Amino acid sequence: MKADLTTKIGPITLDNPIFTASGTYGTGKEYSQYISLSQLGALVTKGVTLDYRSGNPYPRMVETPAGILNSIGLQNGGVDYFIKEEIPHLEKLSIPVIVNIAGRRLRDYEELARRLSEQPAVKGLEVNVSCPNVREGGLAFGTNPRLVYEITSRLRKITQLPLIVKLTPNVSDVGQIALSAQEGGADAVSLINTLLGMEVDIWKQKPILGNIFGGLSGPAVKPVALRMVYQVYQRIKIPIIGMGGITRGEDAVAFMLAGAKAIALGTVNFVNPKAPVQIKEFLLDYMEKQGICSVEELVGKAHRKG
Amino acid sequence: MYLTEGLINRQEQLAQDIFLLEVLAPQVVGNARPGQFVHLGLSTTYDPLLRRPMSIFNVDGDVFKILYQVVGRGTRLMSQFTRGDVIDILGPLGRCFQTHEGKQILIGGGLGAAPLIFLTRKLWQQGYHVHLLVGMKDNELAFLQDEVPEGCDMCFSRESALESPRMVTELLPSFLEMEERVSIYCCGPQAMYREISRICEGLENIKAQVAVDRHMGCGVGTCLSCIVPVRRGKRREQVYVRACVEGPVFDLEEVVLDES
Repeated sequence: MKADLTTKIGPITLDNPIFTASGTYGTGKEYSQYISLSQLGALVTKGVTLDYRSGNPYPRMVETPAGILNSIGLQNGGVDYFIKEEIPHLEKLSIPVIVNIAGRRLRDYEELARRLSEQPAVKGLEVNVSCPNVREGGLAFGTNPRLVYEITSRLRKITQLPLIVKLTPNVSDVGQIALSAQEGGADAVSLINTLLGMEVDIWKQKPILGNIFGGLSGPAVKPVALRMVYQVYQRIKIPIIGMGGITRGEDAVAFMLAGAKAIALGTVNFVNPKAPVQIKEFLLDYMEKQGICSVEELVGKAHRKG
Repeated sequence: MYLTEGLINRQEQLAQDIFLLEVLAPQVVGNARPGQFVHLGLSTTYDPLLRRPMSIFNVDGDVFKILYQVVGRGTRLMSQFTRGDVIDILGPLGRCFQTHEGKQILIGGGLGAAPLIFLTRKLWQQGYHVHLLVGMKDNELAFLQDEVPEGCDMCFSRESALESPRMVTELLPSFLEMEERVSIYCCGPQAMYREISRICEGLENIKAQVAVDRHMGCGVGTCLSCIVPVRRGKRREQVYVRACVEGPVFDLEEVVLDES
């Protein structure tokens, strides 16, 4: 019997547990030339804000050992543009579409949730309270448990859509933040967003990134992300979407064993557009070899005593 | 555009740190246009992590050629490929040079001139008379002459020379007789583009295009890191567009050039 990859995040049933990480996949159009998007479990869009944002100055990305630092600064056309220009393409997809939303103030998030809840193509919201690259909002919310509770509970009252709160690793106790999201009514949490970092050009003798600081991602951050997923799993009951430096099937399995019910691929898409398909194949093969019928059996297995 | 594999056909060291790489990849070559790039995967271990965007220097049969200088980890790895090795290719990518009628002037600065060789060949095949102007430091790019079809005019400038022309842009004004239309295609540093922009200012009948060099992430338009500030629309407001999709070739008049 073929191993079963289906899983659920809140009310969303997924063909497989592989998500795209916000900001690394646009709305999927670009990559649809290289892989069939129906191979994905779900597509998470680039962050959408209420108004148009031009983003941060160049340079926005720098390569680091086994990773990249980025400071894009949420460049996007705003929610009106998104609904007009992106939704028609998203409506045609056979997989669930989750829209990542980011705001400066609480009421930005509320307005975004209201607007996007009216769109049948949108099957869930990922609440970005963890962007390290904009001055206002984002990270300022995500590092404060009280604000995470506040924002989640307010959105809970506004929308029926599943809410996934995206957590930052730039805190001392990520479990506490996850707990606040759960108490606020989140359906799931996703982690980790990028780790705040910087790089200096020693010949120009100044920071490389136009925004000085950026978020670190890629294989370099995987052990940190894995540890945080493991910690959060011990604190909350709602599902975890694990991400951070996953490049191959082995990484995906490790995240699931640590407690992730689904995993998301980010930076790896830039390098290897076929990664989602290759990871899916590895999962099936691994489960068969291990005699596991359902992928859900893997979730949290690394926590078992003895 | 394709996600495919190419077979290394030849790797040749042409000068100190300057290499020529030939890759057999029929699909890529069949669709490549001058000014486009290929995004090369150099490591299967994800370290270095990112692909490297390389502009296409020329094509020959089913082979495309990359002319590059070793400047860092990526290009050093590239220089270690040998005949028979397999390389991961995404491409061809990006917006190519658009051909405009009129006198055809191609201006390149240093190794950045590489894509103009491909363009020279294409324009020559279309029956245009091509003027190719290349600036170099000393004499390190003289070999480019062998890549240019007969009948094309090629001039060099040398920074090390004691008298003019030291900079390639000094060669430009004599080509700009205003009675006729002129199409200028530029590949080089931003300082060169600023000077060309200054020379062409106020002159009509000139269409100038530039290829913009950017560090890239995905190469296909999703990561938004290779942005170029341009002025577009009726109000000519500055917006960021992607070098990998809307570029790397832009109209000179729309690009907001770097200050430094």
